[in-house]
Amino acid sequence: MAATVVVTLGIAVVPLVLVARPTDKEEATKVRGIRVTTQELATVPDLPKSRRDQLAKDLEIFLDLAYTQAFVPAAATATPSPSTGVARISHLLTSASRKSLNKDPDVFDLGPNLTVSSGQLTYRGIVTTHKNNPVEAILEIELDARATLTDEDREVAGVKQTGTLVLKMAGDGWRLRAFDLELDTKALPSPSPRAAR
Amino acid sequence: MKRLALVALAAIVIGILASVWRSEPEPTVPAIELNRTAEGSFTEPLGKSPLFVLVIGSDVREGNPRAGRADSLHVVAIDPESGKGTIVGIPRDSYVPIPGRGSNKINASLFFGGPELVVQTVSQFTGINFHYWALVEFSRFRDLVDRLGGIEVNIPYPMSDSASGAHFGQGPRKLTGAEALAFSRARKTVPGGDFGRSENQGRLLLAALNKFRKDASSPVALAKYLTTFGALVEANVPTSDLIRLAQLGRRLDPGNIRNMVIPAGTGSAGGASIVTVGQPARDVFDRIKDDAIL
Repeated sequence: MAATVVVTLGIAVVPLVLVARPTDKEEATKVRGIRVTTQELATVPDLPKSRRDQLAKDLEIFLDLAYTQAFVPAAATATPSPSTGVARISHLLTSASRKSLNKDPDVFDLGPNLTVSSGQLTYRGIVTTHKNNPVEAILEIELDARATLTDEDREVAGVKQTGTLVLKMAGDGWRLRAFDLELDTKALPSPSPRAAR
Repeated sequence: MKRLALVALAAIVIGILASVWRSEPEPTVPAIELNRTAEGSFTEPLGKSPLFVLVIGSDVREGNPRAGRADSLHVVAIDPESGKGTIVGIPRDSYVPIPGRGSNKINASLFFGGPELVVQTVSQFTGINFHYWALVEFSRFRDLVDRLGGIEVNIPYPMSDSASGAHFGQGPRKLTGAEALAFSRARKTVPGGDFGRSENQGRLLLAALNKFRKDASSPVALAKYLTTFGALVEANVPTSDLIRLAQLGRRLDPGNIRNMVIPAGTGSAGGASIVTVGQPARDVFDRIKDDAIL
């Protein structure tokens, strides 16, 4: 009798453990946050590769900051962060684009209780320069990410953002000057025990 | 009695628990929307008023375009909000006052004072304040078209002009740089003479806009356009306006832009044949001044 109970419990519990807990290997290779990659960057006028690489690096840093702050609120600051993505990145916008995004904030907001857990942002673009210094940039971006419920590990939605960003170089760094974006959030299918294996 | 007290006590406890349970606020569960699409678009405008560009073609074959005459002059007026606009050609022989130089053919203003004086002259004559000017000569125009892979133009009528080298059948045709230059220069056998030539130059500008819209959809293709334009065309467009202008250009439908040449007569001054411009021409510019639309 006791053996039957143990076997039954074992059969019931093992699949649950398989579903709920990723393997150590999965945990180790999971990338948290948004990784930014430059696919192609041209300059007008054409500048040497070393300078283009430098500009690409600067853009990656800006995009990393903007997208992490917008979509990964926990990573924003130690102090309580504003609740919407737009509010969290408002310091990275020009005043005109800030006004516009405040009217139509959904392109930088996943909604309550959703946070990007991992993702890849790729871009191709142009930087206009004057005397070797960046003036403006126009970037075609594609964000492919996964979102979890806040305070949970389970990924529940796929997030895609595509479109164009126009950046302007201010005294202390890039600012978002204009945008033409589309954000899609789609529920991920719930994993079955078979799929989890 | 003891049992009754117990029942009463139980009823009181149940009642208290029920009232506590009922007065507890409903837990708020924020709505989680997993499936949704959001779109947003914002482009900082170049200004609320229409945009005016003076496009100048110098008659210098190769070299400094400022060293020649402005044989091709077009006022490009665009309303950035509606995307509508007008291209108005000004014949090179238009006889107008040139600031500091008395009255002369308008094309001489380039030789007298470069594109800056051309802009002053056309501004004085039309009442339009130009935001930008662009200047190109023959060889750079040819290179520009070739480097961008040719240009598709709808030839309005059969052309056989030995002086310019324009020999084309009617209809759509992809022109090389040399052919585009010939098309833009043909005058003697073209209906309307210099007026017809100016109209054909406007056709080329619209064909160029059409090509730009098709080709420059990706940032890298746009970079090629901007780099080539920067290398071959002299212009007063600040770097900070390049991307916004390019974005505007990509939005414009050539079908919404009217191409015309100012109404004018012909005459002579000092033994030279001239184009006389008067109130009808000024009326055209008065009408496009406010909204770029004729």
